[in-house]
Amino acid sequence: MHIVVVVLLEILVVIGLSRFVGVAFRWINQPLVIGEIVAGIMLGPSLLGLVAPGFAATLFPSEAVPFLNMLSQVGLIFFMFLIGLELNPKYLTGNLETAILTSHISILVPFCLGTFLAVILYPLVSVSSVPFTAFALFLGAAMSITAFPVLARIITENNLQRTRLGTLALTCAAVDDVTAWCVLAVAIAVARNGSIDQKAVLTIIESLFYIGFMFTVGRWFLKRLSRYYERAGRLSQLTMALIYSGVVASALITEYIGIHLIFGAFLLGAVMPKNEGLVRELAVKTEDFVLIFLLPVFFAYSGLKTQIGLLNSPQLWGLCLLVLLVAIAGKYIGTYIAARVCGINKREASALGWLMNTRGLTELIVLNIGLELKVISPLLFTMLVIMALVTTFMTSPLLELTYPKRLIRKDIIEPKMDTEEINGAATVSVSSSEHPYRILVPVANPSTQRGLLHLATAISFNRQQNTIVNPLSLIELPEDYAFESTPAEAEKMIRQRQQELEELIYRFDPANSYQIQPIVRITNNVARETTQIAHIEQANLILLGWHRPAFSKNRLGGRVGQILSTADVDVAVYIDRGQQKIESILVPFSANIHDDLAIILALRLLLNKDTCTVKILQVVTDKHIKKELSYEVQTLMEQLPSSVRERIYVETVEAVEPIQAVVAASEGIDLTIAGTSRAWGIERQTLGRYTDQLAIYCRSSLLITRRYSPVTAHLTSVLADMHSQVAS
Amino acid sequence: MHQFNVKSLTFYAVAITSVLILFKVVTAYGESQLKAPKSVFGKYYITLAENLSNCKQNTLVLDIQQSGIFLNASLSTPTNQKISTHREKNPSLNGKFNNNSFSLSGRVDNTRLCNAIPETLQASLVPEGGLSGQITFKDVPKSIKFNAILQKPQEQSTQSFK
Repeated sequence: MHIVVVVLLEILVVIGLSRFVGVAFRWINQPLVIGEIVAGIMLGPSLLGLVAPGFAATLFPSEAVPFLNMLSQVGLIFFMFLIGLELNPKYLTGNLETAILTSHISILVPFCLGTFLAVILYPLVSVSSVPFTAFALFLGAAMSITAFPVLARIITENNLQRTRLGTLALTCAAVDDVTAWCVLAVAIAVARNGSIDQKAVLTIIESLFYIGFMFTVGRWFLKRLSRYYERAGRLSQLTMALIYSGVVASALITEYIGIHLIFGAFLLGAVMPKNEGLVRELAVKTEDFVLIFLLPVFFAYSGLKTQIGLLNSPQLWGLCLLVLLVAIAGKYIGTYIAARVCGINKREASALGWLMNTRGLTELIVLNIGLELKVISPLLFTMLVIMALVTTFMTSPLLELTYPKRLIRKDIIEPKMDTEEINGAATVSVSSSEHPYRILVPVANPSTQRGLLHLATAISFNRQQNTIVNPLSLIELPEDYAFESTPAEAEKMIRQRQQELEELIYRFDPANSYQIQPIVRITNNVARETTQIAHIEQANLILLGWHRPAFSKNRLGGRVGQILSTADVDVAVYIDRGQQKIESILVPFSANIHDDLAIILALRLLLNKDTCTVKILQVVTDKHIKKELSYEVQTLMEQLPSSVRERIYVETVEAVEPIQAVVAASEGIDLTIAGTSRAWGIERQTLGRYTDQLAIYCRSSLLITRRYSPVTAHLTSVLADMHSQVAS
Repeated sequence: MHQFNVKSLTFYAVAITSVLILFKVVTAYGESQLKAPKSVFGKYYITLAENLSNCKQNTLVLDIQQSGIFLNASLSTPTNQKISTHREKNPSLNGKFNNNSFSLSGRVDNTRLCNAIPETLQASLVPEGGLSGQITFKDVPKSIKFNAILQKPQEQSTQSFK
């Protein structure tokens, strides 16, 4: 009983630490699984054992290790099943020839380099009881792996799945993965038998036979299951029991044949008919327990065998570096050359090379098998684990470097958009602006934010100017590693959301719907993504709804506050009180640049709509200090046509409490526009929090503006057009 | 199209075949020419050839972990072996294995043989599977010869953490 308690305690620690480190890695934009792998290593002799050997030995006594092994093998089996499930022939879409060539070269080159590396390493880190052939095969396989699961998620998070690069990378990785597993199977067969002799060949033939069996008879059987599922509408527990038993049985068969347990599980997942509902339900039901409970145990078990302390001399670190360089060179150079030969441009080829370099999780599985079979020693195991981590770690930053997000936008295959933009451009005369006046409107829940959209169109639409309103819908992936974050599923979510938005827009404003173009993206950090998109799209304004506080009372908290603090474009936050029309506008004035933006936006609204009126309210606390409207605003107002100027009223009010004066004045007004300034109780405090005094008390709808750019184009472009038109 | 397919197929066939041939050549070379060091992995019971002055004990346990030519080892006495499973097993000695013989050196903090601290160790593999060599102790002028027998080969995969 005692040992069970110890194991359960270990699991507690493992899960807790994995989540913690995983989240930390998420924060630095790295995949969650890498964090979990690092957590496992931290629990082993590399960190915990070094820092607190007594505690480490109590927590992980040697008697508990077989239990951990058992759990991790079960986790691994079901994890491989999930990977097989995800492998969708849909990924083998276009670019098939390019993909096949690139993936072939991206395996052959690292494999050759791995073999040469084996020649160097064998006399140094191996023992005579391990035959060279097995050693070389393993090293070759380890060099040629690309981690498909980790790569798929990196692609989804960077919204690459719709681009040429993304689809190509996925196809190549899928082919690479499957080929590498085959090489691994051969390696295992050889390692168990000593050399490529009769027995090994027999094993290989048996495996091929089994694969064929699964793809024919197995598939047929599973298709019937899929049809049963469609009739029943859901996965009953009996069906699940059958499927799980199938996974275990298949694993046992491949183990008996002589290749490892994981292949059977993987194979069953791969031959499962990719009926969407069935696969999704199966994946969702299986993955939570596997990913949260069992897989971290595998990482911990692997981490217990990783001894970074073994690398205790410069010579050893040099060897580690050599391994790393060979691994990177093989994959990157091989992929790059193959891609260039196929005619892909340098940037994409380079990005593809870095993507294919991701080794992550799959590599760890291979290494553990190698260690188990004693083909590689703990030292080499540690070196290769370090290699796997470093190569995966490199991917995200290098991808951003070679293929930054702004270029990704241009490569997205969006045929529908093109035709609509052409229509739009034809009917609106584009005079001076190279790029249109653009407002980005993050909408969390489109149906309840009509007011926001209404305001956005009121501010932007102008007869003289080419304008676009982009409702932005950001889909946060519910979990970091789930089935729903695979590219195919993510794509589906995006298309669904896009359709919803387009319907909504059409119902909202059928005449101008071409000027309202929704953007839908996947993200794991809404504020960051919003500011990035605003930057890339060169938006003139971000228009947000207010933050509905869950814990605090601050309407400018949460993501709204984050965007207010970090965006490098002008931002406005709209607190809607349900007014249907926007005609009478109040702008309190306190002579700072944010209030200037408020005035400018008000003027723009005035220009766009003939029935609007603007009252600029100067609140004077001290009789002697009367602030002037800024030079910029004055020049702008002078440029306005008289028909517009006569709808502007400037009023001065004396009051001790400026906020109260504004609140009183906002009675009966449709919209109050105020800048973020201390006078109105809306200012940025330390740590970036914004207070929201005026927002609480204001009687009308309130638009809070925060200015970023010293030169705003909200009015100038329109005025320039107007003047040029008048002149001509 | 058909022509292209034939061309690409031949390309793949040639590429794969050449890699396979390369592999075969390299493995043939490897199998014949490359020699990896023998396995010295395991626990050895050391019996000193002569006792230290005023010392009844003359046995030590040497636990070697091997990664090719790089050795990490720890020394302990048979008595405290059972008690402290972790402190002693932290490999504190390291050295290189060369042509059936090796020398280890390092810090051995917790093991003493009658207050004498072992410092360095040199040994070679004997044909029967044991070791023979000599140990030097701190503050003891001459090195002491020993013989060692392999106790039991430890399973590498269960060598999780000791």
